[in-house]
Amino acid sequence: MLETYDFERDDRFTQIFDLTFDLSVHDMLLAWSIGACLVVPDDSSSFAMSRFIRDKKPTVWFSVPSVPALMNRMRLLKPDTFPSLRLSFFCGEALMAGDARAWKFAAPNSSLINLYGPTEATIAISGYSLPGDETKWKTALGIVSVGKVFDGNKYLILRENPSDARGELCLCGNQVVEKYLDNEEADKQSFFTDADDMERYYKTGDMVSVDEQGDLFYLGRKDSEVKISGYRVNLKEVENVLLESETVTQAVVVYHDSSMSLLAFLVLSEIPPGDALQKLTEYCQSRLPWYMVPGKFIFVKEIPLNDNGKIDRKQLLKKYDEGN
Amino acid sequence: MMKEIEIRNQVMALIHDKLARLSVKESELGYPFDLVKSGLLNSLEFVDLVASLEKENDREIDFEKELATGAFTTLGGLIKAFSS
Repeated sequence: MLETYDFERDDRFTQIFDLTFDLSVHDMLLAWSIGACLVVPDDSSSFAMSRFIRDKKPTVWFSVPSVPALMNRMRLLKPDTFPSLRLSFFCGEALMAGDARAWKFAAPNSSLINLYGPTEATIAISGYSLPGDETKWKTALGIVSVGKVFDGNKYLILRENPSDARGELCLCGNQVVEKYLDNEEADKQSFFTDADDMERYYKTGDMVSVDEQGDLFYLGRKDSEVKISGYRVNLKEVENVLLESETVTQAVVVYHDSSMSLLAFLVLSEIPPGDALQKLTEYCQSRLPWYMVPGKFIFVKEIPLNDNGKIDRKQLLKKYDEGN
Repeated sequence: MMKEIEIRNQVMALIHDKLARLSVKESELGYPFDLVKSGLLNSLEFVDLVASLEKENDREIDFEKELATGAFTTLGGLIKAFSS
């Protein structure tokens, strides 16, 4: 990182991650390794971030993309709100182009860098610097590219068929762990030795594609892919299309085994009008191939989360089955 | 006062399922109850709640201003923001 980005001793790095999150180490070590300042908010909730940036005037920002996403929804990313920022890093989740654009709007003096790195290849193993000209931003499914793998590491893409454009990203190199601690079963599932270069690779479970320049594109988790009528469907792709509709604020798409169809659980920004189902179906039909159009749209007040704060798809399916 | 009661009822209707799942009674929620710090709602859910209230009351909240009060995420703060 120090070789790639022009950090300076006068820089002020943010540190807004919980200390149990590996990304927190990034800020602390980078700042202290060059004698720069580390600024830490009293309240690390997303609500407090806008004021924190204005008060503490950091020059280097690092957060998960949900922070700008939430600030964007709260209309806090107004033009030139954060002029102090000159470098903004995002990592840990998919960075949506719309949120990146809103951030650039609020921090016009900042370069934006999208980082990627599973815990097994911590902290970041690839990165993409978004060009100043937004029209040149590389995206897929509305998600900003995660760029090229850093020197000292390499990757391969495990494809089901050689002609597939997408496949599972596998990583190898000096940043990748050798094994899990005392867990041979997990090692067998997640690591393999490639027959071509005889190197040991880690299977990330992340689906990616790559363009001609070698920039990688995150397309969702491997377990978010299902097959419908022989077609491979990425549930994330359907969710992203639904989220682009005017009325949908949250969308979770799951595959329903017994009906062999997709169910879309939606939170709307308004009480569903009488023709909501028809409009959503027509909208999806205009944007997606037939096999990706959900068989049912279910309006819910909220999306349930499990104890880890992640979307509870099992509960959604259970509720749906109980009601039918 | 009428407006405050109306907003409280709207909030309760919107978080009803959440309260039921956590076995929290509506009557137990006083104005100082913090909807986020209590763990009842996460940040995203709170913003969704505000968006729903904005829709129902046909008005837009200035988050910056309300957050500066330090009480916006409490039941009382939320009601005050929409009834003032």
